[in-house]
This record gives sequence, structure tokens and C-alpha cells, in this order.
Amino acid sequence: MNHVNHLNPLAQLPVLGVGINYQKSYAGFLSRHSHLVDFLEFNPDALCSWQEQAGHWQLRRNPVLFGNFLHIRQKLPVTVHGLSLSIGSASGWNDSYLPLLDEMQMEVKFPWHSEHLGFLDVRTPEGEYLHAGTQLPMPFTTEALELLVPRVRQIIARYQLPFLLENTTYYLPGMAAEGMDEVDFLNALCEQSGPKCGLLLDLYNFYCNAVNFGFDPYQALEKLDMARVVEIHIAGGSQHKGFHLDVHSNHTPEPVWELLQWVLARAPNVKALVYELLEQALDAVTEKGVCQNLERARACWQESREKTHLPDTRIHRKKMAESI
Amino acid sequence: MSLRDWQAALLKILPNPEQTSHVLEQQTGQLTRRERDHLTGLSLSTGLDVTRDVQIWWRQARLQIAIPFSMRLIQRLELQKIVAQYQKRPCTTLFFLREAQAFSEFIQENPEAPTLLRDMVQFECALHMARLRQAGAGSHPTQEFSPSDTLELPLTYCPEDCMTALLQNTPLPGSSPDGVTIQMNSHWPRLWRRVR
Repeated sequence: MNHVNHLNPLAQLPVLGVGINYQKSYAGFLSRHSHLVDFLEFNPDALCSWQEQAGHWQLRRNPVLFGNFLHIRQKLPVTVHGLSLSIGSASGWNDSYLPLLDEMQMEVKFPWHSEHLGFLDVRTPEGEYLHAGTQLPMPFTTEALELLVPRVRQIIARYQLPFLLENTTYYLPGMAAEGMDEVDFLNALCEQSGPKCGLLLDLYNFYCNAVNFGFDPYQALEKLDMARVVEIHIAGGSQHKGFHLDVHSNHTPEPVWELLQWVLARAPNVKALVYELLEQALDAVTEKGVCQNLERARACWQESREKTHLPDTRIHRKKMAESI
Repeated sequence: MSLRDWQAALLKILPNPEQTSHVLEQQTGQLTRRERDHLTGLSLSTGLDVTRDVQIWWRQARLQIAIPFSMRLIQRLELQKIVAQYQKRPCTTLFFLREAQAFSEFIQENPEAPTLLRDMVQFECALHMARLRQAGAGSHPTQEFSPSDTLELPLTYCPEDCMTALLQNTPLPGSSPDGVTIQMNSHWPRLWRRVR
């Protein structure tokens, strides 16, 4: 087992602990509650804006936002969670995202990075450009795998880092085509993409899908290759027209905490756990509420590491921030 | 139907399910019975309805951030139907400014949109753009006057009077008989000024 883990690049990743998604307005929260956060997950797009250069508008790093982020980053390790790569767009991914990530990797080192497993836009064969305005799911088909696998491999080769894909929430019927369900699809994607492809298992998303489409999340997760899970997201949302929505606007619901404990006991390579919160929801959840979610996440995290006899290899934050 | 065709069909149907029959017509001969049934089922599903609502919320949130006073004005004038009409158009972006620019183009052509609203949307879009230009120039913009960077907006209403009325909940301003000219420049600390 140790020999196998020694060869597994995901097993070799540093343990980061419990974190939160970085938002520019969290600076005050982070300075007041730094003991609750071991690391930050940031979205490169959120540090950028459309800017003009020589008459052309393009997505570029916003010096003010990035400067603030660098200041906070000196104290905490970070991971990257992208939003706009649109890895599943059949007409091609977002070309302007990768140069942004290249630029950020020069200044901010991160042990892995991740993206949403979905698509945002497509250009029709006639040249019409269409955008979803929100992340949409990939159908669980062989054609989708054939599109995604070479792209994942390309990204892994480009950054020489493990790359994680996050399972998303979907509300559309008929995604599980060809007899392949979501877990089969995730397993196939990881296996075909190589040992550096991991999963960012969003348990709230998975729970939403289970409730919305009436399947047992435990039975479904029994099939998942747990060794691929490097990072876990938890969050809360709301309900609309009978569907549970992934909006990161609430406390983590009880069934998701139960799923978290179940997964932590079975996933040997989990290195990080993030409570995700929409910036605009901070007032609704309240600072106290965010602290409660982070404290409970930490309690689950520590309990699982004790139960599974995994060493708490969490390196001192400052030392970690300096070393990566 | 290829993955690309499926994605394109979905993105056409999403903002406006009344487009379904048109999308199906465009694909005639290329769709199997099963694919046709799938797209029809998708367009009638609550799941697509929910996905559309999510898209609408995000588009609305982007407008709210990029052009907050215009959105407040829309509420004051009870013109939410104009926003609803706009949201039936295909979405083109994830970004605030681009969404606001697309809305501005829509509203300038919309005969139901009053001139006050057109002026405010145009003003706030230009202001947002100037703010981004300023951010792109770094955190220490020069205060020098740069004529080549100055944008001139000829308007009918004074945006400052409109913003004040919205903030103080007082009557909205009347049109200015001689018109209003606003200049914008990202090198100016306040970014804009009224010159006439």
C-alpha cells in the first residue's frame, strides 16, 4: 500500500487542511479569524477585469485586486479554482484563461489547481457565439470523454501539476446517457487522463444532484475511485421550483456533513476541505455562521485524520506559504 | 447530433424556450427521432426552467453590479419587463461590463425605453469602463488631462440629478432643454465631469 502511494502523485501532495474560497471582501474576516483558515482557494478570474490595451479589451489582472490578494497570500498557502476555462466547450476552451494562469503561476505557487467540469459557451459551426452565463454540465457520454481527456492531459503537461476537476450541479434531465452515470463518468475521466488527474469532490453539488434526481448518494459514491479525491467542497444553497440549487448562500446542510464524514473516512488522498461562500451571502450567513461552518469542518477533518490514523501533516501555515 | 450541436441547441433554447421549434427546424434532417424527442423534452422540463432562472439571476446580478443606478431607475419606473425582454436574448458573457454593454445596446434600440433610462445606462457603462481603464493603469493614475482619452457623451438628462433623485427618493429630473454633455477620462480622479 505504501509502495503504491509512493508512486501516486496525488498521495504526495501537501496536506493543506481547512480553507475558504477567497473573495476580495474577506480581508477583515480573515484577519479576525485567521485561526480558522489554513489556506485560501482563489479564482484567477475574480482578480481580473476587462481592460484596454492598444484599443483592444481583454481580460487582464487587476493590479489593485491582485495586490490585495498577494498581501493576504503572504500569510496563507493557496490553491487555484478556475471558473472560466470552459474545458467542456465543444468548439474550444477559453484561450484567454491559460495565459492568466501562466502569469499567476510565476508569482504565486500552488500545489495543484482545479476547474469546473462543465462548459460555459460554444461557437456554432456558422460562427454564432453563445454563452450560458453560468456553468452547464457535460452529458455523461463517450464523446464528452473524448473531448475532455486530451484537454486534461494538455493542462497537466503545461503546468506539471495535478489538475482536479469538480463535479457540478445539474438540473437538466437526460445527462446520464449511454448507460453511464455521473460517477462512471468521473472514474473514466480520471483513469483515462492519467495519475495526475484528481477530483475536487463537491459534496454539496453531489447531494443536490442526488436529491434532485432521486438517487442514493452513498450508493453512488461507493463506486467512486476515492483515491482520486484530493479536495472536498462543502456549501449550502436554496431550493427553487422543487430543485436544490448550488448557490453557496447558506450553512452546510446536515446531510452534507454526514456525507463529508463518510467520504473522509474512505478517501485516502484528501488534502484540503473548503467551505464555499458566495461573497454576496456573507451578510445573510453572518460572520458567526461562517465561523461555525469552518469550526465544524475542522472538527470533521481532525476526527477523520485521527480515526484513519493518518498523520496530521499540516505544515505550519507561514512555513508552508514560504515553501510553495 | 454531435456534442457541439447539442451545446449550441441548448444555449439557443435556454434563454427562450419558444425558440425550440426554430432550433429543431434548423437541424431538420440531421436529428434522429430520439434526439428530436430529447431536445423537445429538455425544452419542456422543469430542469431547463430552473437552469434558465439561474442564468437570469446571474445576468441580473451582473447588471446590478455594473449599472446599479440604472437598475434602480428601472425599478422606480416599473420597467422590469424591459430587463425580462433583454434576458430572452442569448447571453454572451460572464463579465459585468460586457453584460452591461449588451444591455445598453438593447436599450438604445428599444422604443419602450425612456430617454432618461437610455442616458443613465449609457452613462454608467461609460463610467464602469473608465473605472476599469483606471485600474488597468495602476493604482496611481495621473491627474494630467489627456485629450485623446476623453470620451464625450451627449445626453438629454443630467445623470447626477437622476442619481440624486434615486438616492433621496425625490422626483426624477426633467430633460435639459439644451442637452447635457458629459466628458469621461480615466486619468481624472473623479473620472467624469459635466461640461454643458
